[in-house]
Amino acid sequence: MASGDRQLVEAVLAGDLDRYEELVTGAHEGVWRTVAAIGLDREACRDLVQQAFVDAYRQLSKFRSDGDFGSWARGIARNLARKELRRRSCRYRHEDRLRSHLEQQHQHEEEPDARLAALRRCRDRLSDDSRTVIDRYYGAGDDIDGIAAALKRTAAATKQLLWRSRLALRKCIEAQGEPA
Amino acid sequence: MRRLDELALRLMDGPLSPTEHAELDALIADPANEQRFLQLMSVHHGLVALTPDATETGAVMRAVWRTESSAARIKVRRKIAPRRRRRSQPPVLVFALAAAALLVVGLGAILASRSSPVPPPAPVEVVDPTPPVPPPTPVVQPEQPAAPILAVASVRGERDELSAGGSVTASVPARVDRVGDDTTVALEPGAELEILAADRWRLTRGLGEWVIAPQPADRPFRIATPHAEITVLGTGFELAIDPTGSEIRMRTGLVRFANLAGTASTDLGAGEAARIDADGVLTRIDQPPPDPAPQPVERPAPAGPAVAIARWDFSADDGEVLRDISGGGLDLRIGDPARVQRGPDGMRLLAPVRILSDEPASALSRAIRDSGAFTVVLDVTPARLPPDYDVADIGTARIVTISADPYQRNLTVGQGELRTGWDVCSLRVRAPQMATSHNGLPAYITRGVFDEERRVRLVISYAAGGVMRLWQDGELVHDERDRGGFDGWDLGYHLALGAEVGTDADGMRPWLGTYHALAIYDQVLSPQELP
Repeated sequence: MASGDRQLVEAVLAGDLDRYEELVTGAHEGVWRTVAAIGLDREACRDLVQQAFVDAYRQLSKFRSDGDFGSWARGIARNLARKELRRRSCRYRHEDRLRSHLEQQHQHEEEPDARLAALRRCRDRLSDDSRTVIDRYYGAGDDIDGIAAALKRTAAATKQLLWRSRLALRKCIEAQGEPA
Repeated sequence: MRRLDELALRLMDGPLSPTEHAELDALIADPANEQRFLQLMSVHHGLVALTPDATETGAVMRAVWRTESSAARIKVRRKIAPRRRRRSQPPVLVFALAAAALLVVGLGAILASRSSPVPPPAPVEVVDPTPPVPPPTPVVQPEQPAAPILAVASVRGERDELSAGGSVTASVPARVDRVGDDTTVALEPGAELEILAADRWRLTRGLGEWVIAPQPADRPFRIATPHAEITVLGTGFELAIDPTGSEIRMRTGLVRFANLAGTASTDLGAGEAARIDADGVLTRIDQPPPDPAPQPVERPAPAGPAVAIARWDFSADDGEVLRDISGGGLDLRIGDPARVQRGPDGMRLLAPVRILSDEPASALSRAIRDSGAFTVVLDVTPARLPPDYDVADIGTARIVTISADPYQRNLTVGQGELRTGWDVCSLRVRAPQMATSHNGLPAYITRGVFDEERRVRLVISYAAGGVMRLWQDGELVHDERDRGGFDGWDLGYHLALGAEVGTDADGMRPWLGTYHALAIYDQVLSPQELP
């Protein structure tokens, strides 16, 4: 992979900017997870991910030829995420505690993958409707009304289902003893 | 359900009130509750992390193309630096070059290398067609005058001056402005432009969108292509060059379009188009006449003054109603009139409030969708959010939006980056390639529009599959081409000011500030074309 990255980076540096899209596509999921791990919502994650790749592009000449572009981009994203954490003011105790908690998690790069793997396992154990509401709400970005229409439920019932599904996931994670 | 769970779950879906925040703080004073809260929130953020936005790659690439990448800058600068290199030439060469300036395409790299200690960093597409001149006798050489600057090329903040013989090869979207008037051309990546003289430029290849300022009748502006010559007195048009011919599509004004031999020519007005092929054959390729079917919103005549399809009067105090004075009937209702202050200067939002159309903005959305273009004219003074408002949760503040909720929209002009709520104007237009997204992603984002609390006039124009432009106080600050379109526009969305459409009475994503003017048109307009 690193060899392929090196060729792509060289192509971009030589002026073939379209090749950068291939680098972005390959590294995007990892960068997204790095950014999302600090506890921002989707819109903020999009902004930070975008900024990370823009910064990576600007610094591309510094990319080490024997390195992995994904790791390098995640490092840039991690620094941006930490800056964002420091920038955000916490006026409430629960915000402060959550930030500290997420910062601690962020210190350990390997843990997010373990946490996400546990979460994925728990999600797979949900009922069909619960999994649908979770996937549509988080994955497709659908709102409650849209999901309700798809599931032929009321909006209130769909919201309750979303809430119960999250609670079930918390319980499942806790039962697995995985870091939550 | 536990109160702790309820508050945490609600926090995942939107902002809590200050009272609820305080209540949550009190609950997590219990370590067991705190642990449960952190677990729940970790599940939420884990679910976000598990599901990266697949549409994001496109947005990233658009941002990269927009960025002032050093690679892009260098690539353009090398092509447009002949003037600087010419300064070091012996006088006789400069004289010869100046004498040929109106005829030549540029200065050759060979000339540059004669007196330069190092070879030029990249080929410069300029040549000297004059016969070789013997080297001058090495006598005292006076300081040579700098060649006059005829144009300025810009690539997102990077500016380079061009004199006669200078050229630009755009590796990213670029703009070239003529010195002395408002003539400008937006170059697509791959386009190549040469400055032959102050009033004669040449588009060698690629696509350029031109706006020519009014010219004196006896001194028209001329644009050469490999196949044709265009004589202009002041107009706007798109000119595309490929090896097989040159094609012009008029937007406004009048031009004469002629082949190089002068054996065929035609005068073209607004909306007309023609092509001259490599053999000099001229063909009119005008658009068919518009569909005679009645339009939902009256369109302005092409040559007449632009007419807004929605325009609101912010100074008149009509209680809870904000009148649409365009005749389009899209009156808006102020959620809480006590939260706004209206006066001769406009309408100030004192506290978060949503100003919402009673009915869906169907006629407006339909007019834009059918015309394939819009222009939003926005004159506002932004204000900072009150210190007790949780800016970390509100998202991009909505100045004007045609949408269903925070996730489904036709169009939003907003302010805010990473919820700091200050320094970004983002324009979101649903794009056909984002068929699975109803959120109009990716967004067009321009920084620096709302850097400070001062009045700003924005003109934002967009054409389907065409160019999005943003003028700030009359200056073009954002210009890009994209594949976006209006096919997916939903005619059932409401229009709102000050906050997002949705079930919350005051609306989400609140914006604070003063509206001085807001008008929407179903055509592409520049500030100069606005009434």
